Amino acid sequence: MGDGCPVAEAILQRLARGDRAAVQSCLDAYGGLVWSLALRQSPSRADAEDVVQDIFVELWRTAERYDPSKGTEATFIATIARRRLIDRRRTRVRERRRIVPVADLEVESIPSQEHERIERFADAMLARKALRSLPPDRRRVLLLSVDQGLTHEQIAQATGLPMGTVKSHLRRGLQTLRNLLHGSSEDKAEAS
Amino acid sequence: MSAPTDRLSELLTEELERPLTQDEEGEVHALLASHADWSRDDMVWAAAAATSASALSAIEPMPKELRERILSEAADHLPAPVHELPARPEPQPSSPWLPWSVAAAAALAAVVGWSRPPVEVRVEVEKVPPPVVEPSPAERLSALTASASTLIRWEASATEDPLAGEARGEFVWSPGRQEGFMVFEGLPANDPEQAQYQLWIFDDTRRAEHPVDGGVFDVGQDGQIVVPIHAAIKVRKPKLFAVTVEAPGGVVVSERKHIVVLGQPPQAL
Repeated sequence: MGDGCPVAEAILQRLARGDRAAVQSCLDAYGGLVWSLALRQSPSRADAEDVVQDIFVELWRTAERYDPSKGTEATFIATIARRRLIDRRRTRVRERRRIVPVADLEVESIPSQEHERIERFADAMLARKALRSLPPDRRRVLLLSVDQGLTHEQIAQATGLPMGTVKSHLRRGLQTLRNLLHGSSEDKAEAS
Repeated sequence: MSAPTDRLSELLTEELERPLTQDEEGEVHALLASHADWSRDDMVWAAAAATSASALSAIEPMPKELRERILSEAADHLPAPVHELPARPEPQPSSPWLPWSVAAAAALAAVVGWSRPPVEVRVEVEKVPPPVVEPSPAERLSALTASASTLIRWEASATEDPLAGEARGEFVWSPGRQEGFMVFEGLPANDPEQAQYQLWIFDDTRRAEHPVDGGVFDVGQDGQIVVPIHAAIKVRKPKLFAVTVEAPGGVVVSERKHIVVLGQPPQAL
């Protein structure tokens, strides 16, 4: 796992050394990803802008903790983004979320010309394959969680599935991804 | 998949949703100890990879203004730049002729020394790098004032409290880095066994009854100190720094019996 391109891999190490120029590189490489994640899970653009600033402040401070053996830089940054977005979600009071129709939550194909641009997102590409391989119900539940940021309870409401089934789908879906990222041949074969 | 792994993945998935209970924590520790191929953040990384995957097909460029804001504030949060020293030249391999040439040079020096006034002989000793020393608070303060883009510097002055002495100085605070220092002189020395000074930071975004704990500190006999500020939580909009005298170790909520030093924005004085 963690097969990001060498140039991208160096960004977090440079940040950890206090290299100011690496900030530009980081925003070039991952600014769009973080911004897009924030947009998808925030009630407004203003909220998205706030949380993106928080995410990058945390990244500047914690870049040294990145361990390439765990995954790509993009995934490390996404762990920070997810945590910040979840924190925001939990602190929002009486939030009325726009729940995307489940049918719209499909893993779209990527135009071939973009493949090169997203090489640095090796983990995400692997995860994309895995998501496609999941049974439809499991995939929908997982996407409602990771893409929409819904709680287990909200997912149960949105899908009409019992809470236990929601949890089970999530666990199994994430475990498939986890095994794939860890190089389990069985899961890789299933995903490809 | 074995049942224990099922349980482990169940708990780690649950942890993505809510903090685990103490019992669950114990269970996770035990299960991780017996499953070396698992780590605590496996599901966090899996979920993050899935999150990225879901966003890949619709990545939007970050708005230019937001990018500029992030760029302008980044320097406040990055670690200090590390300057790498040039590599030391490799030592030359010793020559079998070296002892002889040294002896010859010594003999020549002895002869010359007879006939000429003594000259200073300089022996080149390899310089040993000094041991790594943590920068002092004063050095860290200098680094902060030199590098932080935004800095609050408020005069510190003694109150009327009899324990305040002739205290004066400055509060220095970087909102961006959430880091700062108190620079005092004239503050009476304390006996840490009896009482300690404690800093409170009043944040305009919080209720005044709950200022942010800025940490406890001691003052020695010379009364001149530079003390790092250790804010317990993020300070969003500081409006007042206050130093109180408290029981050893500090308190969670001050009774404010002895407020000895205050620091406020100039316009508020």
